Amino acid sequence: MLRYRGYDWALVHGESLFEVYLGRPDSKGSKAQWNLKAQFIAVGPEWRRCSNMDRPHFFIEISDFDLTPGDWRHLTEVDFWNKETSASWLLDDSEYPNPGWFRAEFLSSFREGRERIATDFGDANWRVVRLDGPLVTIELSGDTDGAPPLTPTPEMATTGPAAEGAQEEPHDTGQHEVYLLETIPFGKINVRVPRNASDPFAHAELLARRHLKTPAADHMVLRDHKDHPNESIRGDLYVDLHVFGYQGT
Amino acid sequence: MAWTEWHHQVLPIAEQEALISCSLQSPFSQARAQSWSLSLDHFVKNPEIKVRGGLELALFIEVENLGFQLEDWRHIGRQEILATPDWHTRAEHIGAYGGIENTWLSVGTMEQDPGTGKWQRNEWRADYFRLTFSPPTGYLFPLELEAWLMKEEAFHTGQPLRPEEIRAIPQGPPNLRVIALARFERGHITIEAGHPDPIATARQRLAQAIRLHEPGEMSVKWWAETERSNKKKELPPPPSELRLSDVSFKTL
Repeated sequence: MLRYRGYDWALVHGESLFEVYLGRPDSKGSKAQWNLKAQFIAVGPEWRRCSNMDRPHFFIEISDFDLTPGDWRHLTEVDFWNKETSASWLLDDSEYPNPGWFRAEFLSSFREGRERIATDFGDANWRVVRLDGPLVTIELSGDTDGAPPLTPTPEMATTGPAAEGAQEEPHDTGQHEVYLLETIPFGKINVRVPRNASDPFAHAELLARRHLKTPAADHMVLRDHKDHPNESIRGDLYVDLHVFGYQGT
Repeated sequence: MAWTEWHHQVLPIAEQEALISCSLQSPFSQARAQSWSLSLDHFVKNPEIKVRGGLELALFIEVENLGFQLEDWRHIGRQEILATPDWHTRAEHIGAYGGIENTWLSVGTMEQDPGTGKWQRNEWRADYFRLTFSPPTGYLFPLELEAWLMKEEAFHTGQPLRPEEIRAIPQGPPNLRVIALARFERGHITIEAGHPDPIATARQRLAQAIRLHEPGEMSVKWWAETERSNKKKELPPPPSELRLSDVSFKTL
Protein backbone atom coordinates (compact mmCIF):
# COMPACT_ATOMS: atom_id res chain seq x y z
CA MET A 1 0.00 0.00 0.00
CA LEU A 2 1.44 3.35 -1.08
CA ARG A 3 0.04 6.69 0.01
CA TYR A 4 1.10 9.54 -2.23
CA ARG A 5 -0.91 12.36 -3.77
CA GLY A 6 -4.22 10.66 -3.10
CA TYR A 7 -4.01 8.11 -5.90
CA ASP A 8 -4.72 4.40 -5.60
CA TRP A 9 -1.46 2.69 -6.47
CA ALA A 10 -0.56 -0.85 -7.48
CA LEU A 11 2.92 -2.32 -7.16
CA VAL A 12 4.44 -3.22 -10.53
CA HIS A 13 5.64 -6.81 -10.40
CA GLY A 14 8.97 -7.73 -11.87
CA GLU A 15 10.28 -4.16 -11.64
CA SER A 16 10.07 -4.06 -7.84
CA LEU A 17 12.65 -5.98 -5.89
CA PHE A 18 15.57 -6.11 -3.51
CA GLU A 19 18.79 -6.79 -5.35
CA VAL A 20 22.43 -6.92 -4.41
CA TYR A 21 25.67 -6.35 -6.31
CA LEU A 22 28.72 -8.37 -5.33
CA GLY A 23 31.87 -6.59 -6.46
CA ARG A 24 35.38 -7.93 -6.74
CA PRO A 25 36.66 -9.25 -3.44
CA ASP A 26 39.06 -6.92 -1.66
CA SER A 27 41.22 -7.54 1.36
CA LYS A 28 38.12 -7.49 3.57
CA GLY A 29 36.10 -9.80 1.36
CA SER A 30 33.43 -8.97 -1.15
CA LYS A 31 31.56 -5.72 -0.77
CA ALA A 32 27.85 -6.20 -1.18
CA GLN A 33 25.81 -3.21 -2.35
CA TRP A 34 22.16 -3.61 -1.48
CA ASN A 35 19.44 -1.79 -3.40
CA LEU A 36 15.69 -1.61 -3.24
CA LYS A 37 13.60 -0.62 -6.26
CA ALA A 38 9.85 -0.23 -6.22
CA GLN A 39 7.60 0.96 -9.00
CA PHE A 40 3.91 1.85 -8.80
CA ILE A 41 1.17 2.71 -11.25
CA ALA A 42 -2.12 4.48 -10.58
CA VAL A 43 -5.15 2.19 -10.68
CA GLY A 44 -8.88 2.61 -10.17
CA PRO A 45 -12.03 3.08 -12.23
CA GLU A 46 -11.11 6.58 -13.36
CA TRP A 47 -8.07 5.16 -15.20
CA ARG A 48 -9.80 2.29 -16.95
CA ARG A 49 -9.57 3.93 -20.38
CA CYS A 50 -5.94 4.92 -19.90
CA SER A 51 -3.04 2.82 -21.06
CA ASN A 52 0.12 2.34 -19.01
CA MET A 53 1.66 5.35 -20.78
CA ASP A 54 -1.14 7.68 -19.72
CA ARG A 55 -1.19 6.81 -16.03
CA PRO A 56 0.78 8.34 -13.18
CA HIS A 57 3.83 6.37 -12.11
CA PHE A 58 5.85 6.56 -8.93
CA PHE A 59 9.34 5.17 -8.48
CA ILE A 60 11.24 4.63 -5.26
CA GLU A 61 14.85 3.61 -5.03
CA ILE A 62 17.07 3.12 -2.00
CA SER A 63 20.64 2.56 -3.11
CA ASP A 64 23.57 1.07 -1.27
CA PHE A 65 22.07 0.66 2.18
CA ASP A 66 24.05 -1.16 4.85
CA LEU A 67 23.27 -4.74 5.75
CA THR A 68 25.13 -6.91 8.20
CA PRO A 69 27.34 -9.07 5.96
CA GLY A 70 27.23 -12.82 5.71
CA ASP A 71 23.61 -13.72 5.08
CA TRP A 72 20.83 -12.22 2.97
CA ARG A 73 18.38 -13.06 5.76
CA HIS A 74 19.92 -10.21 7.75
CA LEU A 75 17.40 -8.15 5.81
CA THR A 76 15.11 -8.88 8.72
CA GLU A 77 17.35 -6.65 10.89
CA VAL A 78 17.05 -3.58 8.68
CA ASP A 79 15.75 -0.72 10.78
CA PHE A 80 16.46 2.88 9.80
CA TRP A 81 13.38 4.26 11.50
CA ASN A 82 14.24 7.36 13.53
CA LYS A 83 17.75 6.02 14.03
CA GLU A 84 20.99 7.89 14.06
CA THR A 85 22.58 7.03 10.74
CA SER A 86 25.38 8.10 8.48
CA ALA A 87 24.86 9.14 4.92
CA SER A 88 27.82 7.85 2.96
CA TRP A 89 27.67 10.57 0.33
CA LEU A 90 27.98 13.22 3.05
CA LEU A 91 29.90 11.55 5.80
CA ASP A 92 32.14 8.53 5.72
CA ASP A 93 31.33 7.47 9.23
CA SER A 94 31.36 3.76 9.80
CA GLU A 95 30.07 4.13 13.35
CA TYR A 96 26.50 4.31 12.12
CA PRO A 97 24.83 2.19 9.48
CA ASN A 98 24.02 3.81 6.19
CA PRO A 99 20.28 3.92 5.36
CA GLY A 100 21.02 4.29 1.67
CA TRP A 101 20.40 7.00 -0.87
CA PHE A 102 16.67 7.61 -1.21
CA ARG A 103 15.34 8.65 -4.60
CA ALA A 104 11.73 9.13 -5.50
CA GLU A 105 10.22 10.19 -8.78
CA PHE A 106 6.64 10.98 -9.72
CA LEU A 107 5.52 11.16 -13.34
CA SER A 108 1.98 12.24 -14.13
CA SER A 109 2.31 10.22 -17.37
CA PHE A 110 4.89 9.25 -19.95
CA ARG A 111 3.50 11.75 -22.45
CA GLU A 112 4.94 15.08 -23.48
CA GLY A 113 4.02 17.92 -21.13
CA ARG A 114 3.76 15.64 -18.14
CA GLU A 115 4.39 16.77 -14.62
CA ARG A 116 7.54 15.37 -13.08
CA ILE A 117 8.74 15.61 -9.50
CA ALA A 118 12.02 14.03 -8.56
CA THR A 119 14.14 14.11 -5.48
CA ASP A 120 17.71 12.93 -5.06
CA PHE A 121 19.72 12.58 -1.89
CA GLY A 122 16.50 12.49 0.07
CA ASP A 123 15.95 11.11 3.51
CA ALA A 124 13.55 8.39 4.43
CA ASN A 125 12.70 6.48 7.53
CA TRP A 126 12.40 2.88 6.59
CA ARG A 127 12.55 -0.59 8.07
CA VAL A 128 11.80 -4.20 7.36
CA VAL A 129 8.79 -5.34 9.35
CA ARG A 130 8.60 -8.95 8.16
CA LEU A 131 10.57 -11.50 6.16
CA ASP A 132 8.50 -14.36 4.81
CA GLY A 133 10.71 -16.52 2.63
CA PRO A 134 11.99 -14.16 -0.07
CA LEU A 135 9.14 -11.69 0.51
CA VAL A 136 10.25 -8.62 2.42
CA THR A 137 7.59 -6.37 3.93
CA ILE A 138 8.86 -2.85 4.40
CA GLU A 139 7.53 0.32 5.92
CA LEU A 140 8.79 3.64 4.61
CA SER A 141 8.03 7.25 5.36
CA GLY A 142 9.60 10.03 3.35
CA ASP A 143 8.87 12.96 1.13
CA THR A 144 9.65 14.22 -2.30
CA ASP A 145 10.13 17.78 -1.12
CA GLY A 146 13.34 19.59 -1.92
CA ALA A 147 12.75 19.58 -5.64
CA PRO A 148 10.03 21.77 -7.11
CA PRO A 149 7.96 20.47 -10.01
CA LEU A 150 10.09 20.67 -13.13
CA THR A 151 7.00 21.50 -15.16
CA PRO A 152 5.60 24.74 -13.72
CA THR A 153 2.08 24.48 -12.41
CA PRO A 154 -0.47 27.32 -12.48
CA GLU A 155 0.03 27.68 -8.74
CA MET A 156 3.74 28.31 -9.26
CA ALA A 157 3.05 30.88 -11.94
CA THR A 158 1.31 33.09 -9.39
CA THR A 159 3.74 32.46 -6.55
CA GLY A 160 6.92 32.19 -8.63
CA PRO A 161 9.92 34.52 -8.40
CA ALA A 162 8.34 37.01 -10.79
CA ALA A 163 5.42 37.62 -8.49
CA GLU A 164 5.83 40.33 -5.89
CA GLY A 165 6.38 38.90 -2.44
CA ALA A 166 6.71 35.44 -3.85
CA GLN A 167 7.66 32.55 -1.62
CA GLU A 168 11.05 31.12 -2.48
CA GLU A 169 9.83 27.56 -2.05
CA PRO A 170 6.64 26.18 -3.54
CA HIS A 171 3.92 25.91 -0.97
CA ASP A 172 3.88 22.45 0.57
CA THR A 173 0.33 21.19 0.48
CA GLY A 174 1.21 17.75 1.81
CA GLN A 175 1.48 16.52 -1.75
CA HIS A 176 5.08 15.47 -1.13
CA GLU A 177 4.51 13.03 1.70
CA VAL A 178 5.17 9.37 0.97
CA TYR A 179 4.09 6.45 3.11
CA LEU A 180 4.64 2.87 2.02
CA LEU A 181 3.79 -0.49 3.56
CA GLU A 182 4.44 -3.09 0.90
CA THR A 183 5.81 -6.56 0.31
CA ILE A 184 8.65 -6.71 -2.19
CA PRO A 185 10.64 -9.81 -3.13
CA PHE A 186 14.38 -10.35 -2.90
CA GLY A 187 15.19 -11.81 -6.26
CA LYS A 188 18.46 -10.88 -7.93
CA ILE A 189 22.19 -10.97 -7.28
CA ASN A 190 24.55 -9.33 -9.75
CA VAL A 191 28.04 -10.79 -9.38
CA ARG A 192 31.23 -9.44 -10.90
CA VAL A 193 33.29 -12.34 -12.20
CA PRO A 194 36.87 -12.37 -13.56
CA ARG A 195 36.96 -12.82 -17.32
CA ASN A 196 39.28 -15.78 -17.03
CA ALA A 197 36.95 -17.77 -14.79
CA SER A 198 36.58 -21.19 -16.36
CA ASP A 199 32.88 -21.32 -15.49
CA PRO A 200 31.46 -17.85 -14.80
CA PHE A 201 28.12 -19.24 -13.64
CA ALA A 202 29.66 -21.59 -11.09
CA HIS A 203 32.02 -18.83 -9.94
CA ALA A 204 29.12 -16.42 -9.42
CA GLU A 205 27.10 -18.97 -7.50
CA LEU A 206 30.07 -19.78 -5.30
CA LEU A 207 30.58 -16.10 -4.39
CA ALA A 208 26.87 -15.62 -3.70
CA ARG A 209 26.72 -18.69 -1.52
CA ARG A 210 29.87 -17.70 0.38
CA HIS A 211 28.97 -14.07 1.04
CA LEU A 212 25.18 -14.13 1.17
CA LYS A 213 24.20 -17.76 1.82
CA THR A 214 21.76 -17.54 -1.06
CA PRO A 215 20.18 -20.72 -2.47
CA ALA A 216 21.06 -22.13 -5.87
CA ALA A 217 20.01 -19.82 -8.69
CA ASP A 218 16.86 -20.58 -10.65
CA HIS A 219 17.95 -18.63 -13.68
CA MET A 220 21.23 -17.04 -14.77
CA VAL A 221 22.19 -14.39 -17.29
CA LEU A 222 25.74 -13.54 -18.35
CA ARG A 223 26.53 -9.95 -19.26
CA ASP A 224 29.67 -9.05 -21.15
CA HIS A 225 30.26 -5.34 -21.71
CA LYS A 226 33.43 -5.72 -23.77
CA ASP A 227 31.76 -4.23 -26.85
CA HIS A 228 30.98 -1.07 -24.92
CA PRO A 229 33.40 1.68 -26.03
CA ASN A 230 34.55 2.36 -22.48
CA GLU A 231 35.13 -1.25 -21.59
CA SER A 232 38.34 -3.12 -22.13
CA ILE A 233 38.51 -6.71 -23.26
CA ARG A 234 40.21 -7.25 -19.92
CA GLY A 235 37.11 -6.03 -18.10
CA ASP A 236 35.18 -8.40 -15.92
CA LEU A 237 32.04 -10.31 -16.68
CA TYR A 238 28.80 -9.92 -14.79
CA VAL A 239 26.40 -12.72 -13.94
CA ASP A 240 22.81 -12.10 -12.85
CA LEU A 241 21.62 -14.82 -10.52
CA HIS A 242 17.84 -14.97 -10.23
CA VAL A 243 16.76 -16.66 -7.02
CA PHE A 244 13.41 -17.65 -5.53
CA GLY A 245 11.83 -17.79 -8.97
CA TYR A 246 12.27 -14.07 -9.61
CA GLN A 247 11.17 -13.49 -13.21
CA GLY A 248 11.98 -9.84 -13.79
CA THR A 249 14.62 -8.35 -16.02
CA MET B 1 -20.51 -20.73 -35.37
CA ALA B 2 -21.33 -17.08 -34.61
CA TRP B 3 -24.29 -14.78 -35.08
CA THR B 4 -23.26 -11.14 -35.01
CA GLU B 5 -25.12 -7.86 -35.16
CA TRP B 6 -22.72 -5.01 -35.92
CA HIS B 7 -24.07 -1.46 -35.68
CA HIS B 8 -27.64 -2.80 -35.84
CA GLN B 9 -26.98 -4.79 -38.99
CA VAL B 10 -27.08 -8.58 -38.80
CA LEU B 11 -24.07 -10.11 -40.51
CA PRO B 12 -24.11 -13.46 -42.30
CA ILE B 13 -23.55 -16.37 -39.93
CA ALA B 14 -19.82 -17.07 -39.55
CA GLU B 15 -18.35 -20.53 -39.28
CA GLN B 16 -15.63 -19.51 -36.83
CA GLU B 17 -15.87 -20.38 -33.18
CA ALA B 18 -14.78 -17.97 -30.51
CA LEU B 19 -11.59 -18.92 -28.68
CA ILE B 20 -11.08 -19.03 -24.92
CA SER B 21 -7.51 -19.27 -23.70
CA CYS B 22 -5.93 -19.43 -20.30
CA SER B 23 -2.52 -18.57 -18.94
CA LEU B 24 -1.27 -19.83 -15.58
CA GLN B 25 1.52 -18.08 -13.73
CA SER B 26 4.29 -19.62 -11.71
CA PRO B 27 3.38 -19.76 -8.00
CA PHE B 28 6.40 -17.50 -7.38
CA SER B 29 4.89 -14.75 -9.50
CA GLN B 30 3.11 -11.98 -7.64
CA ALA B 31 0.68 -11.63 -10.51
CA ARG B 32 -2.74 -13.27 -10.43
CA ALA B 33 -2.56 -17.02 -10.85
CA GLN B 34 -4.87 -17.19 -13.87
CA SER B 35 -5.55 -14.96 -16.81
CA TRP B 36 -8.43 -15.82 -19.18
CA SER B 37 -9.12 -14.20 -22.51
CA LEU B 38 -11.70 -14.43 -25.27
CA SER B 39 -11.37 -13.71 -28.98
CA LEU B 40 -13.63 -14.07 -31.96
CA ASP B 41 -12.88 -13.32 -35.62
CA HIS B 42 -15.92 -12.79 -37.81
CA PHE B 43 -15.31 -12.65 -41.57
CA VAL B 44 -17.95 -11.56 -44.07
CA LYS B 45 -17.26 -12.58 -47.65
CA ASN B 46 -18.79 -11.31 -50.87
CA PRO B 47 -18.42 -13.40 -54.06
CA GLU B 48 -18.41 -10.20 -56.14
CA ILE B 49 -15.15 -9.09 -54.52
CA LYS B 50 -12.23 -10.61 -56.39
CA VAL B 51 -9.40 -9.56 -54.10
CA ARG B 52 -8.45 -10.45 -50.54
CA GLY B 53 -10.22 -13.78 -50.84
CA GLY B 54 -13.55 -12.02 -51.37
CA LEU B 55 -13.40 -10.41 -47.94
CA GLU B 56 -15.89 -7.59 -47.39
CA LEU B 57 -15.62 -7.08 -43.66
CA ALA B 58 -13.54 -8.57 -40.88
CA LEU B 59 -14.22 -8.12 -37.18
CA PHE B 60 -11.62 -9.03 -34.58
CA ILE B 61 -13.35 -9.08 -31.19
CA GLU B 62 -11.26 -9.51 -28.05
CA VAL B 63 -11.50 -9.33 -24.27
CA GLU B 64 -7.93 -9.68 -23.01
CA ASN B 65 -8.79 -10.00 -19.36
CA LEU B 66 -11.97 -11.76 -18.33
CA GLY B 67 -11.06 -11.14 -14.72
CA PHE B 68 -12.15 -14.44 -13.17
CA GLN B 69 -10.15 -17.05 -11.23
CA LEU B 70 -11.62 -20.56 -11.49
CA GLU B 71 -11.19 -23.81 -9.59
CA ASP B 72 -12.46 -25.81 -12.54
CA TRP B 73 -12.37 -24.86 -16.22
CA ARG B 74 -15.99 -26.04 -16.55
CA HIS B 75 -16.98 -23.11 -14.33
CA ILE B 76 -16.48 -20.84 -17.33
CA GLY B 77 -20.06 -21.86 -18.03
CA ARG B 78 -21.22 -20.12 -14.83
CA GLN B 79 -19.62 -16.78 -15.58
CA GLU B 80 -21.61 -13.67 -16.27
CA ILE B 81 -19.76 -10.39 -16.63
CA LEU B 82 -21.49 -7.05 -16.47
CA ALA B 83 -18.64 -4.60 -16.84
CA THR B 84 -19.70 -2.07 -14.23
CA PRO B 85 -17.16 0.23 -12.53
CA ASP B 86 -17.01 -2.26 -9.63
CA TRP B 87 -16.25 -5.10 -12.03
CA HIS B 88 -13.46 -3.05 -13.63
CA THR B 89 -12.00 -2.37 -10.19
CA ARG B 90 -12.02 -6.09 -9.35
CA ALA B 91 -10.66 -7.17 -12.72
CA GLU B 92 -7.89 -4.59 -13.03
CA HIS B 93 -4.49 -5.90 -12.05
CA ILE B 94 -0.81 -5.81 -12.91
CA GLY B 95 0.27 -8.68 -15.10
CA ALA B 96 3.31 -10.84 -14.53
CA TYR B 97 5.50 -8.55 -16.61
CA GLY B 98 4.55 -5.26 -15.07
CA GLY B 99 1.80 -3.97 -17.35
CA ILE B 100 -1.81 -3.14 -16.55
CA GLU B 101 -4.10 -5.88 -17.84
CA ASN B 102 -6.74 -4.02 -19.82
CA THR B 103 -10.33 -4.59 -18.82
CA TRP B 104 -11.96 -3.24 -21.94
CA LEU B 105 -13.42 -5.06 -24.92
CA SER B 106 -11.81 -4.23 -28.24
CA VAL B 107 -12.99 -4.66 -31.81
CA GLY B 108 -10.69 -4.16 -34.78
CA THR B 109 -12.33 -3.95 -38.19
CA MET B 110 -11.04 -4.23 -41.74
CA GLU B 111 -13.56 -2.85 -44.16
CA GLN B 112 -13.73 -1.30 -47.58
CA ASP B 113 -14.42 2.40 -47.83
CA PRO B 114 -17.49 2.56 -50.10
CA GLY B 115 -16.28 5.88 -51.58
CA THR B 116 -12.66 5.12 -52.40
CA GLY B 117 -12.71 1.33 -52.38
CA LYS B 118 -9.64 1.39 -50.13
CA TRP B 119 -9.33 -0.87 -47.13
CA GLN B 120 -9.43 0.74 -43.74
CA ARG B 121 -8.62 -0.54 -40.30
CA ASN B 122 -10.66 0.89 -37.47
CA GLU B 123 -10.47 0.29 -33.76
CA TRP B 124 -13.37 0.32 -31.35
CA ARG B 125 -13.43 -0.03 -27.56
CA ALA B 126 -16.07 -0.67 -24.94
CA ASP B 127 -15.73 -0.56 -21.19
CA TYR B 128 -19.42 -1.27 -20.75
CA PHE B 129 -20.40 -4.73 -21.95
CA ARG B 130 -22.27 -7.80 -20.86
CA LEU B 131 -20.88 -11.28 -21.47
CA THR B 132 -22.66 -14.48 -20.42
CA PHE B 133 -21.36 -18.03 -20.78
CA SER B 134 -23.53 -21.15 -20.50
CA PRO B 135 -22.59 -24.68 -19.42
CA PRO B 136 -20.44 -26.51 -21.97
CA THR B 137 -20.77 -29.40 -24.32
CA GLY B 138 -17.27 -30.79 -24.38
CA TYR B 139 -15.05 -27.73 -24.51
CA LEU B 140 -17.68 -25.60 -26.26
CA PHE B 141 -19.41 -22.88 -24.26
CA PRO B 142 -22.39 -20.99 -25.66
CA LEU B 143 -21.94 -17.26 -25.12
CA GLU B 144 -23.92 -14.08 -25.51
CA LEU B 145 -22.25 -10.71 -25.74
CA GLU B 146 -23.58 -7.16 -25.86
CA ALA B 147 -21.28 -4.15 -26.03
CA TRP B 148 -21.58 -0.40 -26.35
CA LEU B 149 -18.55 0.51 -28.41
CA MET B 150 -16.83 3.83 -29.04
CA LYS B 151 -14.28 4.76 -31.64
CA GLU B 152 -10.74 4.36 -30.34
CA GLU B 153 -10.06 8.11 -30.62
CA ALA B 154 -12.99 8.98 -28.38
CA PHE B 155 -12.27 6.18 -25.93
CA HIS B 156 -8.56 6.77 -25.39
CA THR B 157 -8.32 10.44 -24.58
CA GLY B 158 -5.40 9.87 -22.24
CA GLN B 159 -7.31 11.58 -19.43
CA PRO B 160 -8.82 9.98 -16.33
CA LEU B 161 -12.58 9.75 -16.29
CA ARG B 162 -14.57 12.31 -14.33
CA PRO B 163 -16.78 10.90 -11.53
CA GLU B 164 -19.92 11.25 -13.66
CA GLU B 165 -18.18 9.46 -16.53
CA ILE B 166 -17.11 6.58 -14.29
CA ARG B 167 -20.71 5.78 -13.37
CA ALA B 168 -22.29 6.61 -16.73
CA ILE B 169 -24.26 3.82 -18.40
CA PRO B 170 -24.57 4.05 -22.18
CA GLN B 171 -28.03 4.79 -23.46
CA GLY B 172 -29.73 3.00 -26.33
CA PRO B 173 -29.22 -0.47 -27.73
CA PRO B 174 -25.76 -2.04 -27.97
CA ASN B 175 -23.88 -1.63 -31.25
CA LEU B 176 -22.38 -5.11 -31.00
CA ARG B 177 -24.33 -8.26 -30.23
CA VAL B 178 -22.92 -11.75 -30.57
CA ILE B 179 -24.31 -15.23 -29.98
CA ALA B 180 -21.61 -17.79 -30.53
CA LEU B 181 -19.94 -20.97 -29.42
CA ALA B 182 -16.61 -20.43 -27.70
CA ARG B 183 -14.08 -23.22 -27.44
CA PHE B 184 -11.68 -23.49 -24.53
CA GLU B 185 -8.89 -24.54 -26.81
CA ARG B 186 -5.47 -23.66 -25.48
CA GLY B 187 -3.26 -21.82 -23.08
CA HIS B 188 0.19 -21.64 -21.60
CA ILE B 189 1.87 -22.06 -18.24
CA THR B 190 4.98 -20.33 -17.02
CA ILE B 191 7.20 -22.80 -15.20
CA GLU B 192 9.91 -21.43 -12.97
CA ALA B 193 13.42 -22.82 -13.24
CA GLY B 194 14.29 -25.94 -11.31
CA HIS B 195 11.94 -28.14 -13.32
CA PRO B 196 13.94 -30.07 -15.91
CA ASP B 197 10.72 -31.69 -17.17
CA PRO B 198 8.38 -28.69 -17.42
CA ILE B 199 5.67 -30.66 -19.23
CA ALA B 200 5.25 -33.01 -16.27
CA THR B 201 5.03 -30.00 -13.94
CA ALA B 202 2.57 -28.29 -16.27
CA ARG B 203 0.34 -31.37 -16.28
CA GLN B 204 0.25 -31.36 -12.48
CA ARG B 205 -0.54 -27.65 -12.33
CA LEU B 206 -3.33 -27.86 -14.90
CA ALA B 207 -4.93 -30.64 -12.87
CA GLN B 208 -4.55 -28.75 -9.58
CA ALA B 209 -5.40 -25.26 -10.77
CA ILE B 210 -8.30 -25.76 -13.19
CA ARG B 211 -8.97 -29.53 -13.06
CA LEU B 212 -7.87 -30.09 -16.61
CA HIS B 213 -6.68 -33.68 -16.21
CA GLU B 214 -5.97 -34.83 -19.72
CA PRO B 215 -4.66 -31.96 -21.82
CA GLY B 216 -3.89 -32.55 -25.47
CA GLU B 217 -0.72 -31.53 -27.27
CA MET B 218 1.90 -29.81 -25.12
CA SER B 219 5.19 -28.17 -26.04
CA VAL B 220 8.02 -26.36 -24.23
CA LYS B 221 9.73 -23.12 -25.08
CA TRP B 222 12.79 -22.35 -23.00
CA TRP B 223 13.44 -18.73 -22.21
CA ALA B 224 16.51 -17.16 -23.77
CA GLU B 225 19.32 -18.38 -21.61
CA THR B 226 21.84 -15.60 -22.05
CA GLU B 227 22.45 -12.30 -23.69
CA ARG B 228 23.56 -12.24 -27.30
CA SER B 229 27.08 -11.30 -26.17
CA ASN B 230 27.32 -14.67 -24.51
CA LYS B 231 26.86 -16.39 -27.85
CA LYS B 232 29.70 -14.34 -29.29
CA LYS B 233 31.94 -15.60 -26.54
CA GLU B 234 30.72 -19.13 -27.05
CA LEU B 235 30.36 -19.65 -23.35
CA PRO B 236 28.02 -22.44 -22.38
CA PRO B 237 24.43 -21.52 -21.54
CA PRO B 238 23.16 -22.54 -18.13
CA PRO B 239 21.80 -26.07 -18.06
CA SER B 240 18.10 -26.47 -18.75
CA GLU B 241 17.17 -26.91 -15.09
CA LEU B 242 18.35 -23.33 -14.52
CA ARG B 243 16.12 -21.84 -17.17
CA LEU B 244 12.53 -20.68 -17.06
CA SER B 245 10.14 -22.18 -19.55
CA ASP B 246 6.73 -21.69 -21.06
CA VAL B 247 4.61 -24.75 -21.69
CA SER B 248 1.89 -24.36 -24.29
CA PHE B 249 -1.05 -26.72 -24.18
CA LYS B 250 -4.13 -27.57 -26.16
CA THR B 251 -7.23 -29.06 -24.61
CA LEU B 252 -7.61 -31.66 -27.35
